[in-house]
Amino acid sequence: MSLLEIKQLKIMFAGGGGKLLRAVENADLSIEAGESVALVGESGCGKSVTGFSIMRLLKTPPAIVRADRLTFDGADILTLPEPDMQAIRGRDIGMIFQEPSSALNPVMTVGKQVDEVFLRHRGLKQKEAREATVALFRDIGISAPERRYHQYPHELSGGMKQRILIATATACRPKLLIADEPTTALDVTIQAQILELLRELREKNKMSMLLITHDLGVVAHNAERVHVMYCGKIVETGRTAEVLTDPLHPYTKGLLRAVPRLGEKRDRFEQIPLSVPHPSAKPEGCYFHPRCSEACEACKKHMPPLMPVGKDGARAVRCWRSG
Amino acid sequence: MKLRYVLTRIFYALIILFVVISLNFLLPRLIFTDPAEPLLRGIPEDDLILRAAVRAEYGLDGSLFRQYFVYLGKMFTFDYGRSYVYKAPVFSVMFSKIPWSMILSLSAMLISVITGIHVGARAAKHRGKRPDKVLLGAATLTTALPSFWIALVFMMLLCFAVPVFPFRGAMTEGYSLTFHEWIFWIGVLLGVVAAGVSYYFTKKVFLLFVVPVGAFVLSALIAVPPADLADIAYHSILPIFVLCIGSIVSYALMVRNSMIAAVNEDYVTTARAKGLSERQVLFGHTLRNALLPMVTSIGMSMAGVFGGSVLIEKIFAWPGMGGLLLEAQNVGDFQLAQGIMFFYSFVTIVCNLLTDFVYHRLDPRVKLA
Repeated sequence: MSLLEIKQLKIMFAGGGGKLLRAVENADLSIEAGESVALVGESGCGKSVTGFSIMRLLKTPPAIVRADRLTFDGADILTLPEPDMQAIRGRDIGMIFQEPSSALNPVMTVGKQVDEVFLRHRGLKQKEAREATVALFRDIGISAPERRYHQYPHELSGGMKQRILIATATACRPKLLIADEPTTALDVTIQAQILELLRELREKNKMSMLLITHDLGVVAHNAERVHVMYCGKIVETGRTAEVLTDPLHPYTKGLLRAVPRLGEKRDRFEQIPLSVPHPSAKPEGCYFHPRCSEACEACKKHMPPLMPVGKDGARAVRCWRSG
Repeated sequence: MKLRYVLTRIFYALIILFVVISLNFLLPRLIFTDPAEPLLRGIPEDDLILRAAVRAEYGLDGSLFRQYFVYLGKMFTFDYGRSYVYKAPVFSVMFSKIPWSMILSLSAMLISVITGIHVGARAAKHRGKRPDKVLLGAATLTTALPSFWIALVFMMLLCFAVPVFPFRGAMTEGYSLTFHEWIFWIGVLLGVVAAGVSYYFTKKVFLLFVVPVGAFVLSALIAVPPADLADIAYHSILPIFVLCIGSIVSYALMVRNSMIAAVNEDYVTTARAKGLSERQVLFGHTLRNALLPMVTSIGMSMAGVFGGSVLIEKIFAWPGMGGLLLEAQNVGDFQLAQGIMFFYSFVTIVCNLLTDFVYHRLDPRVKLA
């Protein structure tokens, strides 16, 4: 049994006028113990809400979450009573967010914010929690941990804040870490440090990771498998190396052409024409066809299924042209 | 907190206090053609020696410039003059009135802050639904209706149409006889000291509010004989109720708005992702941040707690500071009026200063400048 199993996940939002906006449609996703899986796509494709639904952090209503199966470590996330879910959050599943600046409470010292995890899940006394937090800061490579403990978020740099958030999310050595665009708001050099830290933590704690990102460059060294998402549907999945070197779906190809490469001279990066349609105005047929250079008649009428490619079943693509 | 910051703020506060003292000198001289006139009323026109002596006694002789320096000298030597109506030092008159005002305004403030937080948080939770709509409706109504009008309506209904409550005074018969002011003031003083000490050792900001309030209630309970206590409570219900109506709504509205802003903050999601219970998220993160504007608002209304409400006290013939100011103004007891004005400004300045310090402790982002 996989650590995380998602079958036919549907996430909808009740929009104005009784309309339902479908953010995620019939997505399958599984993560094995110790494995790192990336979920890639443009903003608004449904990748973040997928992450939030695993933590059951979506506000319902307006959100509606349905799935044939949504289990973590054998527990059914959809039906778990709230206190049990709270016990999982922060202890068995950690989550870090895109914007380290706003993800920390501005009027509380960062040390106290990490303490909360120990107080909640480890049942430590305030003083023990403090010691644990300082030790954790030291482990995670935060300089002058004693001093940091007493500082407020506005006194720290973005990279330092993200480290604090990673410390918070991994304090209880969770089995799964959901990293929602962990490096998007950071400088390139800090990005590399943060990704390195995540790799170390995964190795040390045998932690699985769901890496949610729009940046295929980040995916290459940080995930074993990748799911590409477009308009709430998974359009391509496979081992990272295969997907990146031999993309099958035109959308994946487009994303890869937009990534800069070392030693390559280009005046302009290619971009995918048009933009992501609004969830209320998804086109008929394949959602990608208006932006696709390879689209044919079938693409305009029928949504292709996610078709397995190869023999081992690791790869699949949702495209009439590559079938 | 940096000592430099504290000293700078105190320095500025002293400058403001000086300006206020100077304005306070001018006010009675602008309002009355001759502030000495009410004092001299009973003295024969030809008794020039007595007239000059009275003028000199109250610092009303010589040029305005000279009067100003005599006045400043008295201020700095803590001589705030005598009330000629009460035939007593101004401050001892005020100190016998302040406790009565505090009974009304402190109770009203406690009730409205606590109720306001509850109502506001509830409205924010059910935004756009019934509790929210009720609050917004009440807000429109209470801001449109003046408080004295509301007071008169309730007085008509509950004191005359259906005589449930007394319509005037703080006690059924004679109120100043049984009230041991000195016990009360010693209690309040000890409370303030205790608040400072307990805060110094624990660094818990809420002690700065809770301890003095507790000391006030306790010393009021000790200072007033138990038999009179019920009588005072009975007389104070209606005025407190009227005072609460407007302030509950305004506190609730404030909490509602900042709660709505706070629940959508990313750090609230982080707090949930840590596995905290809804209660922990609410008290540790959402409400904690949403209540910051309340601190400013409470700090600013603290002066009113000592000063009372002029209109409500007048309507219910309550023996507090508000009524005293009106009386001093009506009979031309200018030193009493001056003393009250000085006290109001002093309390306001001190409360603003304390609010600044407390706010800085609660929200470290506030710059020390």
